[in-house]
Amino acid sequence: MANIIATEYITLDGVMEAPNKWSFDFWSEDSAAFKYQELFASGSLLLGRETYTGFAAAWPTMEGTGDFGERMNSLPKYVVSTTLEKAEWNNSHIIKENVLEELKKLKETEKEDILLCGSAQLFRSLMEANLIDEYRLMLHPVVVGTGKRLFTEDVSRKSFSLIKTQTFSGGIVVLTYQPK
Amino acid sequence: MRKLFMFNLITLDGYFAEPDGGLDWHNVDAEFGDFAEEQLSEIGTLLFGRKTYEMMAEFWSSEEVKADDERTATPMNALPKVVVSHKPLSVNWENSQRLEGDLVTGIQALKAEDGKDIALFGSANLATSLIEAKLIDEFRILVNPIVLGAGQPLFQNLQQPLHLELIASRTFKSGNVLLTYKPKN
Repeated sequence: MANIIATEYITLDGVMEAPNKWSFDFWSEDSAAFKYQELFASGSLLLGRETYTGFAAAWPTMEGTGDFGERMNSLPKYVVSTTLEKAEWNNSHIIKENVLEELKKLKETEKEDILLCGSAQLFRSLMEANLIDEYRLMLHPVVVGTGKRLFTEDVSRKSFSLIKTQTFSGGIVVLTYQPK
Repeated sequence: MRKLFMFNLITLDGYFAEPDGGLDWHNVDAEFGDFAEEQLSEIGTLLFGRKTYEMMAEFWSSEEVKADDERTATPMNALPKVVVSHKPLSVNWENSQRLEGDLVTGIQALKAEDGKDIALFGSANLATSLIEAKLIDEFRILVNPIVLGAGQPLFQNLQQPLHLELIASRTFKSGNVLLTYKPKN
């Protein structure tokens, strides 16, 4: 049995798009350590097509990423997409059909956390289907004004239980929730 | 020089009110009541935009609310209120006056007065103008553990990104988290 853990970079106005444009200013050793521990506690990555494509173009050739990068490249990746034909990043598996059923099976067979990163559309589908076991919102101290939001108007009203609050020296706050 | 701070309850999707202004999702308990009472004791002036002013006036003037939540209602009703509105105020709430003349000059003058802090609740349009004029000294955001799906965004139409610095965080038993920021310079 494994849990699906959603880990998301967001701004104070709820934007998740292009964190490379707004997150670096707030990066610190303790937030890096948090991401490191998170990745090493996970057994696989779960990604939507857009996030997958971005990661697959960057991680295999990115330099200086150390064992974090090695783990990103070696972990199994599950990509949810109806259109993607090939997934060439090492250890990638496409989930094309019966997505919710396939993910329920995956939760049965995997042993370690399945880490859902970015992938806002997939995030919302899984939230609606109650398949996410834990939400980690990395709230960055910035209002960007424009960009795709993590929660859009097609989600339904939902309450959560706060599990943990962590603050990092660069000003990032991680709010961890479970479904109620 | 006194401080102007903004305080709001917001949802995880960044709304401070439902599309129709509804606030029944507010996750409040006795601990929040204690916090609100203490915060009110540090406030000398309440600042509002017209819409929030009208909503608050109606809410806090109700006899039912006064009886149910006396410790918040009493200071909310008694405190001096300054309202930013293009037209004369159509609602009478005790101790209220409209800000005359230019917004920036008026707020600067208000901040230069002696006394306790100035607080801005709700009033998202006014907040945008004040953020752009760099007049807000502190942002207190109480994140409620709920997603609404639709609502009125707290931060609207900012022309420039706003960079903040985290100065405090406090977790409430109810699952709310109070995040306090100041503008980053």
